[in-house]
Amino acid sequence: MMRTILYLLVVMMSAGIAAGSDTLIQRDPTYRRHAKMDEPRNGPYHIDRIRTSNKNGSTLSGSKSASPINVNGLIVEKGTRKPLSDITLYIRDVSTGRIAATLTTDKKGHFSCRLLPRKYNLIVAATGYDKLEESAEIKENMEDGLLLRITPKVFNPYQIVVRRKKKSSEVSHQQLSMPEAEQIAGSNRDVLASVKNMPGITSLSVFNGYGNGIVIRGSAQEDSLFLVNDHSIPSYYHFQGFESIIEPEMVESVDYIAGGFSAEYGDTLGGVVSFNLRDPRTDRLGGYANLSLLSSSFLVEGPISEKDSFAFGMKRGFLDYYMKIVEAYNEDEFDDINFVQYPTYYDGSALYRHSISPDNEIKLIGLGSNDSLKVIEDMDSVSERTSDHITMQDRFATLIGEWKVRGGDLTSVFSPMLSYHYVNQDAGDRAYFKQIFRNYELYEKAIYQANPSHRFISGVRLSLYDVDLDTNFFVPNKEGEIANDDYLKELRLQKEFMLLYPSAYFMDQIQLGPLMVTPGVNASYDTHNEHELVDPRLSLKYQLNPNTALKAATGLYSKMPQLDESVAPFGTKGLLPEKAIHGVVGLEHYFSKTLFMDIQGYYKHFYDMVVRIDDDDPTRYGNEGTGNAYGAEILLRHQMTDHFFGWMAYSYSVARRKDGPDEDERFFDSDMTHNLKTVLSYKLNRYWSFGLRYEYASGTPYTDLLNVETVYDVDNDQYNPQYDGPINEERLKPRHQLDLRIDKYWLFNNFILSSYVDYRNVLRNKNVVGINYNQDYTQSEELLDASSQVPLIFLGLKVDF
Amino acid sequence: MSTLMRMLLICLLLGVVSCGDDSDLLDSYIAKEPKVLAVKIQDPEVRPGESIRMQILVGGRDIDQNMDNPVSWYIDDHPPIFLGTSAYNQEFIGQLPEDALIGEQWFDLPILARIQVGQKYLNAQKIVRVTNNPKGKNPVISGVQMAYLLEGQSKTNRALNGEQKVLPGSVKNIALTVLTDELAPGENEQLVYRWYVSTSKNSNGKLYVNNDTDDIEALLGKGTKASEIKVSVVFSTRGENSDASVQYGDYDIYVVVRDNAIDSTSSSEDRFGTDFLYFTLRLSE
Repeated sequence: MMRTILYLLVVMMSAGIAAGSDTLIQRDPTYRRHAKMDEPRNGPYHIDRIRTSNKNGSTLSGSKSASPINVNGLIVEKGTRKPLSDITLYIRDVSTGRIAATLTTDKKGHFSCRLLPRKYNLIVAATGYDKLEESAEIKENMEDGLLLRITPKVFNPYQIVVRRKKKSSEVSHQQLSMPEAEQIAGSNRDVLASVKNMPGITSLSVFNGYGNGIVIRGSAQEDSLFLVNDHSIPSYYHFQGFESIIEPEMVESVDYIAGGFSAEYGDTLGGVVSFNLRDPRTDRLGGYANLSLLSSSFLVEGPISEKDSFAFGMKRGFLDYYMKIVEAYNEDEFDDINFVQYPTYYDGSALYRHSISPDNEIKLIGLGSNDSLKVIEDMDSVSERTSDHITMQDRFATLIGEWKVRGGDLTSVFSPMLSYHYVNQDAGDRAYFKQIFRNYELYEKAIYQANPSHRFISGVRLSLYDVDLDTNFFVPNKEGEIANDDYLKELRLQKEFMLLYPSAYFMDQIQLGPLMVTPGVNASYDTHNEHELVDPRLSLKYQLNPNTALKAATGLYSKMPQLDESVAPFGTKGLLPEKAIHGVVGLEHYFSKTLFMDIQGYYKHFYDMVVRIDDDDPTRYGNEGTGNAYGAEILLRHQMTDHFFGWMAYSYSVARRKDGPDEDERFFDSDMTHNLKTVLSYKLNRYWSFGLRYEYASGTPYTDLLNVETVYDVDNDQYNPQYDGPINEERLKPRHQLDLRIDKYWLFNNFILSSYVDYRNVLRNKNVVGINYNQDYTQSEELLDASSQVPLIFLGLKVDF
Repeated sequence: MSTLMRMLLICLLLGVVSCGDDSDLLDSYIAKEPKVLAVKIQDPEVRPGESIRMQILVGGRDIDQNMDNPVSWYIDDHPPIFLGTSAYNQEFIGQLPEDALIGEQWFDLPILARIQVGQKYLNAQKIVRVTNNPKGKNPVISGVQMAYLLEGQSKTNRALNGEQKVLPGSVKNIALTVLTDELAPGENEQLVYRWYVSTSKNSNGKLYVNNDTDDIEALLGKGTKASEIKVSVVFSTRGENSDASVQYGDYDIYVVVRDNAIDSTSSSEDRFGTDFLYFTLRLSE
């Protein structure tokens, strides 16, 4: 009935329509070749439906004297060239004014029919697209197919695969999609900068507030787990925080779990940030080229055959060019600095996917990055401990395989990984760190739906590290510590060693009517320190009604000590894993399909935390630290629709610790009491979108060292504070920041040109990220973040094809 | 892991991000509050049983180099081992035990000096190498060569330790070059320099290091480089960017010369030698 009404409407509306622009209908030589190859009797493509206007049921229309000919065509989206399936095309005979055929495109956007040679009007009226009405003349011996481009009201250049929503037992889980990550104001297309807008995440100041550091519910970045397709890769940032290595276009979604997470995730105390790389597109060859102020990148992707597809992309940072420009305009400033290697970074990613069958696929993922810098100071170094040159090289290559098989109720994912990571940080014979990390990992994950009530999820991981370490360095500072002259102790280590970490987990998602109970356990073994880690966990979700759920989770969480804490001479072998007990309760409510609210309260108790235990020997560690973090979060989020996405998130948090039984309790370095974030993005039409981001954050704690007694290390020209007072008693000023973003799109037949302006801290609030002291601690001043000092306006230009 | 590297990187990359240093903190070469600038130990490498002479240099606006505040000397251990006391304007002489090297070829002995100036305690640590085969010597500063333009004429002058020099305020830039004695081959490897200047002792004036290449070359010759960490430095008498009025007043100027170590693993190449000199510059109206 609906279709009949639509048909009548179209006939009525199209009666007086003039012929449209020829730019939208072309005879496509490529398409013609395709049609010839297939040699169909009734056109090369499946005709889903043909409806004639002839009441007697004839398949033809028009003159009885001419013979009908095969007409083939393709309907694609303008700009993206995305073939469009299930699009209805009405073909109206100009001479009679009647509809000659009504066609629906197949899965690949093709249509086909037989028409008499004459003039026709082609009419497409599809939801989400501008109405298309164009004229075309069908001629005998016509070999070219028809190519129709229809213009979307809004668009996304990427093929988003809508996956079946998994039954998740995670209670503190949020997901960020790639289009969201790409368009959040202030993030400048940086995926990890986007993630820090989620509730419960506070941003650690890296590079004077410019870069990214992620603190989840009071846990430092190194205490959280970062994954790419279930594996840890060596690095996520260029230059340790400057720009994310992974391009947003490579990512289908980012899962963020703030706490109380399931047994699937081990060896972590804080939260989980997991990148899910998307499959290469299979419909056509496509990609993008991006040019921004910070870097440029490109990606090419598409099908190789019916079953194979690929993606390949690279990025190059422009820091070196900026350095050269600054150098050229500030000759005096750079008079004493010679760049042997200007700071340069590259990264690359490659994906290959082979579909053996719809339920059996293989993927290969390659990721690589290269950061390098070498500077020679044209001066004699005052300090004996560092030389006049600084070298930094950080590069890795990671290959991840993924074999996914679904059979009946069982899904298996087997995923090996090979990774090579080379780090060379060299400031002379007394201050260098050279490391080669080779990581070989095997991971098998299985999901078995035993019956409607039980879904078993299990995994086994075997991770082998082959480490080649050569270093002579000073004692590193730890959280909250004030460096004194003991920290200038030089430690040398030249060692090759191997570390084996086996781990496994098992969980059962038990569905009991509206209640889902997920008990699980994660177990692993630290072969270096010779300790086992066994973490039982439990989560509950109770669906009060289709829109509202109560949820809770608790469990034990363990993390192996860091290598610099447990490998002699830097640290103490035999340390226990650090532990935390999480407790989370929450409520989620959907006001509509796209608008929901999530409220959570949490408590985390930390114990066996690794701390220094000998004032005279900074290399001696013990498990004497304790602490706790508690807080509440509320999130009101509007999921991404054609025109809008956004959220408001407020977090209240307190994180305190004791560095030993006799030590005073103090705040964690990253404790942030209040944090309010608002992210809004509105797509006005297909040409313009606007984004806004606002953040209010309480100041983080610090220890005031102004006018403390110092010891001047004469041979190294360094004043070392001698401070033995309370730690983190002072607070930095609260921070306000408003970021704006404007995207402009130009739609062409075969590509989309877009540009953006991303302006951080539009109001130029003076945001304090730390306290600077002069050399002997007799003066101090607030250190302002980069956006407070200079306008941080990022421009970008991108072509998606 | 690599805090130092991170700091260095941050400094470099922020040069791009923040496009300059807006800090209001005084540069480290300007001494306003009292601070230790150097400790000299004669000799920097000594045999067990030998005596060593030690002296501390404190700089700052209110520092009188003839003060006799007591300086306490320690071996910087946990806890520090007290060695004795000397007046600031005198050397402290200590004696190393004969058995200081117990089965070792050499070891580095950290010396801690402590002095109270006003309400504030100042501390400094310096290494002396105890070895059966001492080679390194302290560099020897013989004076500071002053160069400036006065009424279009090039002028030179020489300042000795403790002297006061007077220049008219019409002098815009003053180039200072430290003069050191030649030492025997092997006694010095690589000298490094550090210039300091106090804020004016009788006005609010400050002398700033002038990095302008033209100004440096006008006084020191084509291709010469100068800064607070080079053999030569050029001070501007017209403020930080040479655009202020004449900074009249009395300034103490200090120069510390160290012998740089190159290789941590070779005792013969390690050097802890130090010498220092100070003089007073008066910019008069």
